[in-house]
Amino acid sequence: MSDCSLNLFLLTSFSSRGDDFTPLSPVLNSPKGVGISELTSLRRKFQREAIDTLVQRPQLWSATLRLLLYSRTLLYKTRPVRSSNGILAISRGYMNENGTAVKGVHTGLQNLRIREERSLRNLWTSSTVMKHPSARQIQTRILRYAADPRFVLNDRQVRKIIDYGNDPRSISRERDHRAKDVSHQIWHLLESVGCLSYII
Amino acid sequence: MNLAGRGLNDEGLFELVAGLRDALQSTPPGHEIMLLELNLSNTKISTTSLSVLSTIIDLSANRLKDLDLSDNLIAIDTKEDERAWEIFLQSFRRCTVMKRLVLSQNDLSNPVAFEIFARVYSQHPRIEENMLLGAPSVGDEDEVTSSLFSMAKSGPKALVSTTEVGSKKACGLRSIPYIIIQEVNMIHLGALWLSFVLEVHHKPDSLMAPLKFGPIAAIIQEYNRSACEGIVYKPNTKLFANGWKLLDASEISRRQRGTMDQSLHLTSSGSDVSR
Repeated sequence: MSDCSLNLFLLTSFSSRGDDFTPLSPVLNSPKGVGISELTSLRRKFQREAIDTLVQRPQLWSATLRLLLYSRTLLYKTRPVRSSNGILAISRGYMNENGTAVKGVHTGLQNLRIREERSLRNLWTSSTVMKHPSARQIQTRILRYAADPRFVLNDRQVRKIIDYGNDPRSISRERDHRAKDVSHQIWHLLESVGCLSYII
Repeated sequence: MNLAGRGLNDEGLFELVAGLRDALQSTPPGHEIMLLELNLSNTKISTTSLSVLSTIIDLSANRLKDLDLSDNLIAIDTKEDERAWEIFLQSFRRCTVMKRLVLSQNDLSNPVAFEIFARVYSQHPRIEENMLLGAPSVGDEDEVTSSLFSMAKSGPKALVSTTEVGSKKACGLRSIPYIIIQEVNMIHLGALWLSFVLEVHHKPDSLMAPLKFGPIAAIIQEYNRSACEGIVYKPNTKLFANGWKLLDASEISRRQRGTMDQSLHLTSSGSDVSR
């Protein structure tokens, strides 16, 4: 999947705060207000620039966007889709036009060497089954193998991305910011799921 | 083992590694061969050699103290290069006595090189406070310090982790006191990833005891003049002003964290006493 396609899908993605580039996570402030806050500010600037200019997007960000896309795709498979909704339409179109997201799930299944692909895929269409904890674990594993085969993301990040992708409220929050430019939306999305950097 | 300046190249290194691997794996008890230092500076090796070299690093995890790969043809341009670079960095995971890793004068201009460095660093075991030299919570500090000095005096047999306390050992990239990345064509987006590592890397004096006067101690003194502590990234002439500002801000943050940690230690030890 190209980063360009991901951008298209994620034109609408991020949280609903009005302030520009204010992290959701608490930022340590130095006693004199220098150093750490300047560090945060410079990092944001560089991150925006990287989103805007880099041909080869950082592996962490690509894996995050892919995983979110797959999570969203599955969310739409289990819920009624209204074609008038822009975000959902993009997602549906994405799936119908080139099937990339579905292909990604297939790759994950193959990586896991699970024979019963069909029955496993049915997990997503059965809300009763999806309530079972082991079904969620399987879903997480498959999505991870599909989106992040090199295990760039850590477990915490994976959980957060999938939860975000499966949360219908995140869509309504994103809708408010569709007018912003792509790098702005992607930055906020990555920040929302704690994937702007590795957890060192 | 000092092979600096020899025209080894990748093929030569493959042969060297094969021989070293046999020697390290198959020597009889009591006649072990130990690889303590490996200087491959200016030997014309490329990124391809890194994944091969990683087997030697892993085999020497408890012995290897110094690895110099400066002035070579290491560059991260292709997916294969990325994989080799990651395998190489991961191979330090079990290393417990590394004091210095030199990567200077290679081409790490692709920001992904520093992204992978930051990722591998994040995956390596964290260093607990009681593993650091001089930490107030260290159980028997004198014993640790004296063992380190005896190591310096009596050589390889006394080699223990520079940050060993009891059965716990600091290991991996986080435990290497000096990581040298001078003149690696780092650009500001590479500096972005480095800034996250720089902010948390422990200072050398908490990872290793001071070295006795000698050639390595003199080199380290030279690093200290660069105003970098542990991760030595100056000079890097391709880095512009904003990149330097970012790295300077990381250093400030690191110092502030250090000060905060010290205050916490003092507070906690004070409350222990009052109990």
